[in-house]
Amino acid sequence: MPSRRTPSGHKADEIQSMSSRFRTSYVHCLFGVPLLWVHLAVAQTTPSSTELQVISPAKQYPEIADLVRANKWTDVVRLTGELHRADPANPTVLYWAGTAHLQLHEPVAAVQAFRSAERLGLDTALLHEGLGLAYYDLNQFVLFEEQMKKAATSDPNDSKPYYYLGFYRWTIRSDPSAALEFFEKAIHLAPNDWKSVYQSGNCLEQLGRLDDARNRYETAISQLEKSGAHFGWPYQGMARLLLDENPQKALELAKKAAQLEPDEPSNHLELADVYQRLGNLQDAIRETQIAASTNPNDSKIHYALFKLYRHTGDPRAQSELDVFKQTKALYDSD
Amino acid sequence: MTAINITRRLLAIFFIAGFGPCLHLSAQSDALVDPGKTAQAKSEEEFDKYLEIVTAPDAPQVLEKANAFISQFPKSDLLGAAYQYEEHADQLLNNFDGMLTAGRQALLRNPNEVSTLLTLAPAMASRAGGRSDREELLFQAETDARHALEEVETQRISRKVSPQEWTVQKHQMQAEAHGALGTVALQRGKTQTAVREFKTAIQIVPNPQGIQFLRLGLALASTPSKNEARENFRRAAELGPDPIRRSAAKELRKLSDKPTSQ
Repeated sequence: MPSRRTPSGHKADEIQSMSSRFRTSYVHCLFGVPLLWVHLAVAQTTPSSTELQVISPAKQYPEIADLVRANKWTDVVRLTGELHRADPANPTVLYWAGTAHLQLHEPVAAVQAFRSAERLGLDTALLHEGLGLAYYDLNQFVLFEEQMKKAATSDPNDSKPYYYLGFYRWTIRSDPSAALEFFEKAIHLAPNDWKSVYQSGNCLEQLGRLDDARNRYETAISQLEKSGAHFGWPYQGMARLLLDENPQKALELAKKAAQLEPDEPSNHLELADVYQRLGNLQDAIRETQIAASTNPNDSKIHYALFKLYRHTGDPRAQSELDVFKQTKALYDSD
Repeated sequence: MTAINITRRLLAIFFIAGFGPCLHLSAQSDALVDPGKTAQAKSEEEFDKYLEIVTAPDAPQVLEKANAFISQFPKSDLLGAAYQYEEHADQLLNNFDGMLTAGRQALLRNPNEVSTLLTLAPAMASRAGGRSDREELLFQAETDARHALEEVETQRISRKVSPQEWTVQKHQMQAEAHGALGTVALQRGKTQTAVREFKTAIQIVPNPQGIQFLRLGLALASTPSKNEARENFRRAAELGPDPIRRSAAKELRKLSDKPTSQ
C-alpha cells in the first residue's frame, strides 16, 4: 500500500504535496468507505514512535512505560484495557490506550480513548496533541486545529503543535504563507528542529523567496548532519535550487537524499532531473523508473518517464504514455 | 410466467443473495482524492456521536445511534454518512422502506455515491412488484443504476488502489448495475432486455456468482430458450451457495415439465 500523509515526516504519497513541483492532494478517508463494519482504521498515519516517547505520565505505571519503550503497542492496548477495568476513573490509562491505538493506526479507537481521558479531567498538551493527531488521521481538520491550539496553550514551550499546524496548512490547504507562520513559531521555540526548518524552507521556496529557502535548507542540512537522522528532504530541496547554478553539487545532494531515503520516489525523481540536466539520460531513466516503481500510480512520474523515453528514442515511450493517460484519468483530480 | 411469479422469484433471489454482492468500494467521494474535501464535524460532541454510529456492534444499534445523531445534529456535514450507515443497517434488518428513506437522504447529500446507488437500485428493482409505487420504484431503480454506471466510468480513485484492483472493483459495480437493470426489465416484462443485461453482468466479471446465472436462467425461462435457461440454472446450482443451489434445482424441476424449444 502506498504510504500516507503524516505530520511527523514525509512518506511516498507526500511527494506531490511536499515537493515544489507537484502539489495535489490525495488520501483516502473514513467517509469514503461507507459500508458497515468495514475496517475503520483508515488512518493516514500516526506520528513516528520517537515523537510520542516524550510523553511521561507512564511513570505512574512502570509496566506501561516498559512496553512503550519497547514499542509494543498491541501489548499496551491489552494492558491498558486491563488497567482501565480495574481503575475506570484513571485518565492516564486511557491516555496510553489512545496513544497505543494511534500508533497502531486505529484512530477511531484513539479518539474515543483520548476523549474518555479528557472527560475524566486530563488536560495536558500531550493529550491534546495525541487527540489532534487522531483527528488528523480521520481527516477531521477543524477538530485537529482546535486540539493543536489547546496543546499550544497548555504548554507554550512546546513547538510540536505549531509544526503540526504548519504541516496541515501546507499539505492539506496548500497555503505556504499560513504554513510558514506556524513553522516560524515552531522554530522560535525549537531552533534545532530540522523538520520545521526544512518545512519553512519549502514554504519559502514555494513563495519564491529562493535565497531564504536556500538558507533554511542549509541550516536543516547542518542540523541533520549533527543529529545523524535519515531525512533526505532538505538535500532534495537544495539540489533543486542548485540545479542550474551548480549541477555537480546538485547531483551530490540529490544522491545524498536518495541514499538517506531510498524509498521516497521524489528523491529519485530529483536525481533523475539532475542527471538529465547533466546530459546523462540513461541514469535519468533508471532513477525515474525507480520512482515509478515506488509510486506506480503517480501520473507525473510516468509522464517524466515517457518524455525521457521519447527523447532517447526508446520504443517503450508509447506504452509509458498509455500508462500516464491511465493513471491521470484514474487518480488526478480535475 | 406471470408477473406475480416473476416478482416472487426475484424477491426470493434478492433475499437469498443477501441484497446482492457486497461492494467494497475504494473510491467514492471527493474526499478520497482530496482529504481537504472531507465532511467536517463542527464540534467534538458531534464527532463523538458520529463515532458511536461507526463503532456500533450491530445493525439495531447502528440504527439507534444514527437516528440519535440525525436528530441531534440536523445540520451536520456528516449527515450523509450517517444516513448511509442507517441505510445499510435497514438493509441488514430487511426494512426496505427504512432503507429507501435513508438511502434517499444519503443521496440528497452525496448524489454521486455509487455504493448508495448500487444498494438502492437492486433493492428497488427486486421489491417493486406488488407495491402501489411499483412504477416509481422501477423508474428510480433504472435511473440509479444508470447513474451508477456513469459515475463508475468517471470515478477518481485513491492512489492506494492499483489500476488492476480498480478494474476488478469497477467490473463488480458495473455487473451489479446491469443486474439491477435486468431485474427492472424483467419486472416490466421486457424479457429480451433482461436477458441482455443479465448476460452483460455475467460477462463483465471474471468469476460470476451463482445468483447471476439464476437470474439469467429466470429471464430465459420466460422465453423459448428453455435449454439455455436450464444451462444457467445448472451453472447456478454448481456455483451455489446452498440457497441459490436449492432455488436453481427448483427452477430446473419446473422446467423439466415444459417442452424443449431449443
